[in-house]
Amino acid sequence: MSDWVVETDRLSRRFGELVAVRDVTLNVARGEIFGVLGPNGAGKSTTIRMLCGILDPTSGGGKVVGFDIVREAERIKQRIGYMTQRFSLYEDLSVEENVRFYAGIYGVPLSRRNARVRAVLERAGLVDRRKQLAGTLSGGFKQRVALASATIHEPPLLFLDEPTAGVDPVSRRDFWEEIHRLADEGTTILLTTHYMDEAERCHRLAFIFRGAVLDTGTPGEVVERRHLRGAEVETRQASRAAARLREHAAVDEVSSYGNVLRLMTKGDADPEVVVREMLGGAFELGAIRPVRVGVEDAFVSMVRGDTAAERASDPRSKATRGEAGPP
Amino acid sequence: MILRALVIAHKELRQLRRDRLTLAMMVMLPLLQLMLFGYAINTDVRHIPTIVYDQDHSAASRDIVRSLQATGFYDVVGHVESTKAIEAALRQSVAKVAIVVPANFSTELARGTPARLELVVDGSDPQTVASATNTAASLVAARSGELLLARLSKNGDAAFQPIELEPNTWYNPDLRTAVYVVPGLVGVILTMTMVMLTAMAIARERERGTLEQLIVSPVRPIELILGKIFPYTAIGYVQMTLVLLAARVVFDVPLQGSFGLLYALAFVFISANLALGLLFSTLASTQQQAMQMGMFFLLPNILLSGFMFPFEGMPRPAQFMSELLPLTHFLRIVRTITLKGGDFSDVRSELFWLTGIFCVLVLLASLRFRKKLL
Repeated sequence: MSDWVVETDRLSRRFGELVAVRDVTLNVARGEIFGVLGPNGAGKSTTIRMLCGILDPTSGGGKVVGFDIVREAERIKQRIGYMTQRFSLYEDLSVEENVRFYAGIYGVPLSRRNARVRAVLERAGLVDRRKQLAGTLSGGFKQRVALASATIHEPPLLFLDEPTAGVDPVSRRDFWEEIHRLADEGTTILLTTHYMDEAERCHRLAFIFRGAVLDTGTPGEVVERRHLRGAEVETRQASRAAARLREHAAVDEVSSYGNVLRLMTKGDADPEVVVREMLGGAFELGAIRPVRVGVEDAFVSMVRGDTAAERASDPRSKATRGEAGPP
Repeated sequence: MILRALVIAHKELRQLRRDRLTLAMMVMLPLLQLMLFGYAINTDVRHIPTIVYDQDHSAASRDIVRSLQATGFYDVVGHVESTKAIEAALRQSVAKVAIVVPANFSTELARGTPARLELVVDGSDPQTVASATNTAASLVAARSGELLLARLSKNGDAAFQPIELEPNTWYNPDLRTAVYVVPGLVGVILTMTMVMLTAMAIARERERGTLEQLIVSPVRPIELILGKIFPYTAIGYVQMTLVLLAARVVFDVPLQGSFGLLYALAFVFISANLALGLLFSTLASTQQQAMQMGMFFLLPNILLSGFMFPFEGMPRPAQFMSELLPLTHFLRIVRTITLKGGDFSDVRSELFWLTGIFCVLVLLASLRFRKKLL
């Protein structure tokens, strides 16, 4: 018996030829906000579906809230809350009717049902809107109703699949505050996102790319392991300067923001030195400022590295196939 | 299990109450169909536009035309004087039947040699052909009999008809189409709405993503299916009652037999249709697809079930397909009970068929349903 609320061991899933999830090993502790990051189609949703017990893994296994994801899926379903990407609400039912429906589905005892419905509505600030049809709500409010419905049975574990897609920035902020409140109360939260700024708000992260986990750890650890350093420099000839900078071996990434270039160097190389070496003299430069390296930089660096490694190994694999095949 | 099914049924009813259009459709559809099929469709052919080419111009020829007209079957719309004119009239659909009386009609009659009467019928409408020739044939046979008798009695023998046919129609003595069609309409309307409504109800959840939300909940497929089916069964019974009431009040259909039996057997029929709707919903990914499948299914039901065209007239393969449709068996049940006052033993074999079809559909639907969840 461990303290992990979610633990998987080399979890894999294929759909025919396609390997959607490959050897994913994760551990999520109680009360943790755990973010699964990755581009669309990386295998995030497939992973969540296996953890919810609605999709069997092809190989590997795992335990969620102490139950086996293959053999005890029904027990898991009772103890988790799940919010889909599209806030799947009944648009022709009112806010309260939606919440009440899920209270019935999850078997919240009748004696406590009214109190629970009242509590989640109050918490989400939906009391004034409880009679409004869900279909007429804005994205932010729909998200609140979906979260209220998913937490109606006080689950110890909450799965949120891209919970902030299509929600305005202010609502997103409120939402994250609520997520942290839930975590403080002991709810474990596993969420997927491709917004990198949100990744920084998680306690721990897992990067998923093409079905495999590239790295796990706290945002700080993940960033540190990349050994990146960043700087900003202002120049009028931004795109020519960017092209020149990319020729340098230590440069990981150059991105343009108007007249400002944002530069990342790998191997702890000093970006200021690189800028002076590559652009000095030929370009009109403004001030060079160091910038903080974020999760996004770490992610881009990792994905680039992975793709480059694959490209390097590709011709070799082709050659092997050529030898094995008929002449 | 029942509790969760009730939660879903409650939600379903609530959604229906908000969906005024669907609700109105479910009430209006039976009434509209009733009017269409009850009033407009009449297979009793009468008043066929007819032209006459009388080459004989005699009292006898005028007499035979008059008696044909008196059947109420042929409406004489004109007289022509050439075969060409008949051709033109039939082609332009001015007339569907032409009666031709040859020039020697009266002389041959008087002489006692067989007289010929010619009937030209537009064969592009088979139902008219059958009615037109049958009526003329029976009239001519009757007239020949009379003539024979008259001739015999002139020779001094007593006048009597050797064989007399006394037609005796049971259950629908006036042969009114409405009596036949309207009870059957119960089955057609139930097929139409039940299949389509359930198919769309599940497809809607899939389309909006709420099905995914339900799948991760502890709801079991059987609870979901029961919760979905229950409200629609109730609607089915409301529709059935509506049509039967209208049949009695508006169309004066004599309804006999046990209603308890009819309603009990209808449950199996409704369930079979709902199971089929469920099966469709697992094949469709949008509401529109579900609706199209429902429409597609409706056509063979109307054509093959014996609702409009007699089962006995279909070729073997069609009859076999017909037996596979739940509607075919329900129609026999409805007609046997309401028109003939039949009891359980009269419809037992139909019940077996319905139950069999239902079991197969439920099996298929639940197999497909489970698969699609993953």
